[in-house]
Amino acid sequence: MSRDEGARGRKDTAPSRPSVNHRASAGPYVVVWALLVVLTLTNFATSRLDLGRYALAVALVIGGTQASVVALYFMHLKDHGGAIRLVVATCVVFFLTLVGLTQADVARRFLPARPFENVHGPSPTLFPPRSAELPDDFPRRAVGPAP
Amino acid sequence: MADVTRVTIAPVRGELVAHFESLPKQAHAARFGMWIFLGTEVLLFTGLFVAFAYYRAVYTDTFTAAARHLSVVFGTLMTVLLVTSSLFVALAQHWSAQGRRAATVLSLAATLALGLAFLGLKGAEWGQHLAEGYAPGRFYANHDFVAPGASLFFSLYYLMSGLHALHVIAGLCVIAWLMWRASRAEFVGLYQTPLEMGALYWHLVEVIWLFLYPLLYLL
Repeated sequence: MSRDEGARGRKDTAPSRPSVNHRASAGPYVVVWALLVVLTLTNFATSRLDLGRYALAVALVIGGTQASVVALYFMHLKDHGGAIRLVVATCVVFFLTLVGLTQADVARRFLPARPFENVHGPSPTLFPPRSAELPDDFPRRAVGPAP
Repeated sequence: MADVTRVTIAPVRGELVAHFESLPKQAHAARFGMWIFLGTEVLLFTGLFVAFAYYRAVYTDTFTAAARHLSVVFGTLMTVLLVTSSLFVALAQHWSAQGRRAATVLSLAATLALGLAFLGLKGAEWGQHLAEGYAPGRFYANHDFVAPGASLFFSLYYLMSGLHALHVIAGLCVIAWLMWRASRAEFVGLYQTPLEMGALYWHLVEVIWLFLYPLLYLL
């Protein structure tokens, strides 16, 4: 028995690729592209507004939406099954863990835990001093060689 | 009895290799492997995103001010170029599956042209920055914008956009190879695997840029 006959004889249980429709229009791709361009311009426009501390979140939400649209429609993630979605989900979780944990670290630093500063005292340009969090007898200029 | 002399090790024009049951399963394995590879690519860039996020948290004001020294017009134009190139890759895949060879080749040619335009703009931008003294690391030589962390921003800018540009160059080589194969009518019927994998890679390169654009140019 040849390989081809063997292949034909069995029922295909693998996730199938999107079936070929010879009359399918390319229109949806153009719509997705237009959406991506509009989101790019939206991202540009909102960045010119002074959103202060929300600017980063807004820009990343717009970027994330664009990335999701590309993944779902251009990369056909919407047509594919669990295994590939698991790879994508793992990737997102690892990315968020790595960025999130380092950000949690840098956001919760207090003076004795800050690098670069303990030898020559606190740097006012890096971290404006928050005296309230320091004990009165905390050495403002720690032991070490002078700069 | 299996004809052992005809067992194919590497798939040629979509032939079924011996260890797969059917063509859809063979294509699924290729697609799954490609997505895992794309995952490793994302994690490669994650290291740089972590470094950027860390130093942006430490030098927030400097990083915000430094982003204003990049050309947002260049950045936006490059984003639109990449988004449009992604559209043409998706169209190439769509038309190749329908057997429309000329449309496939033309779409891939458009992708190639847009990708080269992106690299051209990127090169022009780098040249401009270097002329202004915004060089990486200790070569930083701009005397108007001196603040703690300024050199770090530009070092990360060159690293992140440079690594991305290397991916664009690799992607363009793949697109050129796919164009050549498509012009020889090698993607027939259900056999679209190389085109699909190349398209996935190109889209990922675009997805990474969609995060670089706001972080480097807008904030």
